[in-house]
Amino acid sequence: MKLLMSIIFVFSLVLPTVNANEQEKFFSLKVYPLLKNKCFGCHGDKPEKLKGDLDVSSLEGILKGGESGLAGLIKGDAKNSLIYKSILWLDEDLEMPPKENDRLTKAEVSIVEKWINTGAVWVDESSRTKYLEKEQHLLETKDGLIVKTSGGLDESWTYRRYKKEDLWAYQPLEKIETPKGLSPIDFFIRKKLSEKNITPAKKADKRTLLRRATYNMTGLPPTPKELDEFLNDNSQTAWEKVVDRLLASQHYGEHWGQNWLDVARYSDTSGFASDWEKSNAWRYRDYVIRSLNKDKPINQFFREQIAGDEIDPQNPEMIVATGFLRMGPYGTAMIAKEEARQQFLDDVTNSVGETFMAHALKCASCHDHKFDPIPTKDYYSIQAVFAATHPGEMSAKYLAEESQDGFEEGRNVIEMRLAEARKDVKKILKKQEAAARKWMAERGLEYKPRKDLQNEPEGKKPPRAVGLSVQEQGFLKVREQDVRMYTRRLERYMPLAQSVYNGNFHLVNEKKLRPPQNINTAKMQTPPKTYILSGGALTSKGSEVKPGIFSAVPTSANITNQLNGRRKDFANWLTSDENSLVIRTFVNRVWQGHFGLGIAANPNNFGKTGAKPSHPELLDQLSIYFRDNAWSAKKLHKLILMSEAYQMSSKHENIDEVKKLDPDNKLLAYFNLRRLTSEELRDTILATTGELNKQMGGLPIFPEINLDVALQQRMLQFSLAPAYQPSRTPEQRHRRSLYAYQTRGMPVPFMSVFNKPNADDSCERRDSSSVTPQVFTLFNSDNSYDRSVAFARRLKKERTSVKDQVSLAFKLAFGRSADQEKLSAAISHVHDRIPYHQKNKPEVETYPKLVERNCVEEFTGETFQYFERLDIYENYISDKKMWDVDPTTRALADLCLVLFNSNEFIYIY
Amino acid sequence: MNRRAFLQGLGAGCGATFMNPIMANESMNPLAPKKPHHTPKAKACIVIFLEGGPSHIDTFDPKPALDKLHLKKFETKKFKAVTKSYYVKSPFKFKQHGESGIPMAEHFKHLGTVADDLCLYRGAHAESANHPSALAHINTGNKFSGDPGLGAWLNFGLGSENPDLPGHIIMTDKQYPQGGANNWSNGYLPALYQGTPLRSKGAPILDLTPPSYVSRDHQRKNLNLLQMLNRKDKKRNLQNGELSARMNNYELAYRMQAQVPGIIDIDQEPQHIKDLYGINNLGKDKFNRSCLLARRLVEKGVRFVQVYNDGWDSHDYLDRAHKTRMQAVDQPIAALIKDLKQQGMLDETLVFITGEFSRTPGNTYRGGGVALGRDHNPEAMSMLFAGGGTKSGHIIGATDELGAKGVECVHPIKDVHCTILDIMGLDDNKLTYFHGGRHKQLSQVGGTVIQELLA
Repeated sequence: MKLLMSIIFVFSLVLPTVNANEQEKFFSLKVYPLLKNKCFGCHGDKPEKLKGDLDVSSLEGILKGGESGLAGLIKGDAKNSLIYKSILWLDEDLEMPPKENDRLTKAEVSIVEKWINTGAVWVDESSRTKYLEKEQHLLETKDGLIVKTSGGLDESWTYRRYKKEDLWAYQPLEKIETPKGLSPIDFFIRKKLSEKNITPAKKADKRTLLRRATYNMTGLPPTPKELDEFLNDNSQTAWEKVVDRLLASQHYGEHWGQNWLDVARYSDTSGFASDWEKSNAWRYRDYVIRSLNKDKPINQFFREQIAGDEIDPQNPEMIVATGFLRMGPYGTAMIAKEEARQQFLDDVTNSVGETFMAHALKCASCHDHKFDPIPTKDYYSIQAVFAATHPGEMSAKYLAEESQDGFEEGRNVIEMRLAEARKDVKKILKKQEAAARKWMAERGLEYKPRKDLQNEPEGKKPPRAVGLSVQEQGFLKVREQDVRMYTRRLERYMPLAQSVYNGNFHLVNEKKLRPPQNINTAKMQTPPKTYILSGGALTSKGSEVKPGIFSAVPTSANITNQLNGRRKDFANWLTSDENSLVIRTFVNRVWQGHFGLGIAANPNNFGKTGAKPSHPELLDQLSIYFRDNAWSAKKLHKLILMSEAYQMSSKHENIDEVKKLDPDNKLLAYFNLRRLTSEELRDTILATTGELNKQMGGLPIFPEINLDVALQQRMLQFSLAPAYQPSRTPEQRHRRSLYAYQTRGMPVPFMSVFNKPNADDSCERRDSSSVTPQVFTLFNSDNSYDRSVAFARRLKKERTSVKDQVSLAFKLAFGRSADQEKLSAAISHVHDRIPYHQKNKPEVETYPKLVERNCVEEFTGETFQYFERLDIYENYISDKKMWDVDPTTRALADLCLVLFNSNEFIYIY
Repeated sequence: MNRRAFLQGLGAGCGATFMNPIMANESMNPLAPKKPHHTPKAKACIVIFLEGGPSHIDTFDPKPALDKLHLKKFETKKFKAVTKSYYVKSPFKFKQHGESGIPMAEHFKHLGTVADDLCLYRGAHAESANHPSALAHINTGNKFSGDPGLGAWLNFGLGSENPDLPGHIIMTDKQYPQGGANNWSNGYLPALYQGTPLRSKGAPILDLTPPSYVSRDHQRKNLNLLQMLNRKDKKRNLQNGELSARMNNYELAYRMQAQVPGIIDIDQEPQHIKDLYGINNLGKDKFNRSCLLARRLVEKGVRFVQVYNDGWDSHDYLDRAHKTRMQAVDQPIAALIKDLKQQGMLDETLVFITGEFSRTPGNTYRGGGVALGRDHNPEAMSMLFAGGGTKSGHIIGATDELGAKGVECVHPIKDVHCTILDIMGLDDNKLTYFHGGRHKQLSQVGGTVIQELLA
């Protein structure tokens, strides 16, 4: 120790005083905040909470060390200092801070290293404050920038510094002039490629291009006619004609609508305990499709979704638009109403951040954001925008554009099921009443219904389930829940919308979301107050906040503090031309929709931890183009589709070399091939077999799903969910997947195995990993065989010889003729399989009309059974099955099955 | 055939594995066994999930103090709401078992015989009193569904011992629990970690086999044509590994459909083993069969198996309802532990028996009248552990005199999760996946290992 002391002595003698100041400053600005942030939680102020008996909040504490008995640091010798070793994570037993999330960056490690090596100078709070205050006047130093926000929970957060490159998303858009006659897209893509000496791939052939663009803009394959037209059009404008045709297609809104619904988390049910139906959610889905097809300016599209009801309360379209705010899971069962309310507010706040501003705001609900300039104050200010907003099913007359197809048939079915459930309930209750009467009579008591006997002690009133067997008790509970369920489902046919209304706090029960009776009274119309909740806990209210914005975006807004109009003001700020963050967020989503990967690869996260943009200037030029073209999505699509980058081949002549220089193809030297999404796959199969019904919009449809799953017993609160029953006719079933009923509690295996995302989480980008269960569902399932039969029948109808049938099969499935080798292999396969099918006739299978249910009755713990009626199958129009067709058709169906499973079918090049 | 030979037989000749997205290179296989963070105590984990909220007071944590309070009224308050309730005594007699003296309700006759292999934990503290939220919490670490399940994390962290079987297998009871498949979701982890429900009727895995009119040879012929087309197509698109991955998956699927039915055929077990589990073939032995199957699967290298038993939500007629439940699970759970022990597998297998929450010392007045049952109680739970280096023959933690709250060795669910990961050789703070801007982990924000549970 003596030696060490003298070293320091010498050291301080040699260094000029200004360096001593430098060291104090370095400690105050760099070292102390770092220790405070990373260490004090476990090794800080409260002695009783110290871990490992180590106190890092003073130099004495560090020098004294912890349990090990060794000093925490040796001045001037970082390498041999315990705290330095522990932050390096070299020794498994000595890794600090212990969480991956908190681990020190290289830069932070070197701060500690430098501090120890220069003598571990420590100064008291007043000196630290002096250095801090001086520094706070400098907006930019070599350590980074201070971001002006509404302010953190403490000053050290407010004045912390960010690296410039982490703040790209909030900067104003910067215009760069690019050469005339060249798409700005190609200018920037080529520029980056040439910096790495990579040549771009050649242009893709016309057939590939048409297939790529048709899927990209409509989610469907091109028809043979469209293909012929394009191949035969040798004019200069052939491609542009295709682009314009696709942009005008009604299927554009369906396909790009799906992208939006992924982000918005569309589902037809609410999740949680009862998974109640959001009976009119489809109107929001159709609103999205309609808006995109009309090329409604995206800023208007955004405004309507956040504040449609405030913008134009008389317009049903605007009421429907706010369905966006209702897309999250929602449940109030078994939790305090204050908690249920807070869950809704947290969900909406976070979702608005993720969807429109590419920032999940949730992290800031408990503390100022760890990485991004989002103070907790902003979180609650944005939440205050929604403080008066309540979920409700609101009246909204049907628009002329909205389909009411199938209302009558659907309503009849539900009414029939409801009547049956009511009948069962009545029957059991009648039996119970008779037993109760008897029970009371035997005891000389006057009969009263159970609800009037609430205050009577046991013994003075009949036992709850008097006169009922376990069987009946269980069945009663199921049927009572069915009554509630089908009553709710009747709302499908009422002119209601999943929307919101403004009012004061009250319990909004998930079962029936309607404004309360007293909604227009002063009590319900007082502007609500919002408080910061410390640590996100409802029980610890902090200071009050006013409705506000994401303050790091260099814009300003004046948001009313009244009950009404908060969302409208917020939406106006959100969609102003100055809001570069929002514009970039949308433009990046569009880019990803075309190229498979965003310019910034995390479309929901533009913060520090999200991927940095690969072509930031390009993102800005596209954003400016989009803004200056009145937020027209279609103009942006066209700019992209017309670029050379979009038309590049997915093959590259020097692929090995390119992969070395740019392994993930971030620079776009070639086009990324992609697998069809779950929806595209199902739709494509139906389009290929000729079964696809292209009718748009309206009530959700119920395709056939794996029967085991459809009939799988599924527990809800109080009861079992009714069985999944498909739509009755093929025309109803074979519509696009976008229109299929989405149940939060029951993902459809075919869809989820092909990576349809879970609706509880906003999906920024579809995963497309290839996993074995995809083989099971696509190669083995009844559905795949049904589709193969349909395709085979189409081929037989349109062509007579096996040779012509096979050749047409390839053309319809792949959009091209097969080469001779494939063709002859396929033809001989069909011939080869005919004898098998002649020998093996499939047995006829029928759909069940009843399904047995077994459930444990919770009062008795005993099992009860009942049969659920599957009424749809009583009058069901089945697709043609393998047993309905002759051996030659079955052999042809084998080929069809193989084609549906082939790579060429499922990948877009 | 020993197990190693069996594995080789199933996986030989091809890098393909169940749900494997990348085949080209063995080292890139995400399901290849991975090095744990530290020496594991167990290689596999079986979770027996008693769904509905089994009452600790009526199973493993007797509260004689309730006898005197029976039907006495009391009030509780949350925010502004006041709940009126009355105490309910346990209808069951208790007996202490083994050297450890673990008390069990009278209907646990078999389980008593393995008392000294159990570690009873009474200090767990859940958060939600709502079935689906509580199920999601204990299965995924997050009350709101959508996060990866424990089985997904274990497979992500450790890979698979048998690449030809799903490493995350679920056996439900009569129905899917509340929250359904979200309870075994892969969440934000890659899809290959998703739980696979094993079905008791028909194909054990959904669409494992083609329709009955398709013979194996016929399927092979179709497959041959498919692979020929794919090979030709691949020549046009050499740069993409995804395409060959897909082709390999078809071969793996073809092999699996022949092999899996044998693996899960419990009739291959000797009669005395079936008797041990009480398998009677009378149609009421699904849970018994599932417990035996859990052992078979773990033996074949499956990392995580979860078996559900439902019907524990006794708001009324506790006497009848809990009695039937206890009788139903008593023998199979005891058999599973005995069987694992006999086979020398208990040391390497962690058995974890839990509900989503437990029950209150009393019941609330609902619609008037007294019902002899209990409400949901997340604040005092009994959990059982066996094997995997847990402290067998011990009772850890305690609840208060009435069983309303844990008071000794109290830990939140995330600590239970950290402990399970620790037993499996994983460190919760290092088992992370970057998603949505942060390194996500099972415990959400970190937790502590409950050292008291470990031997």
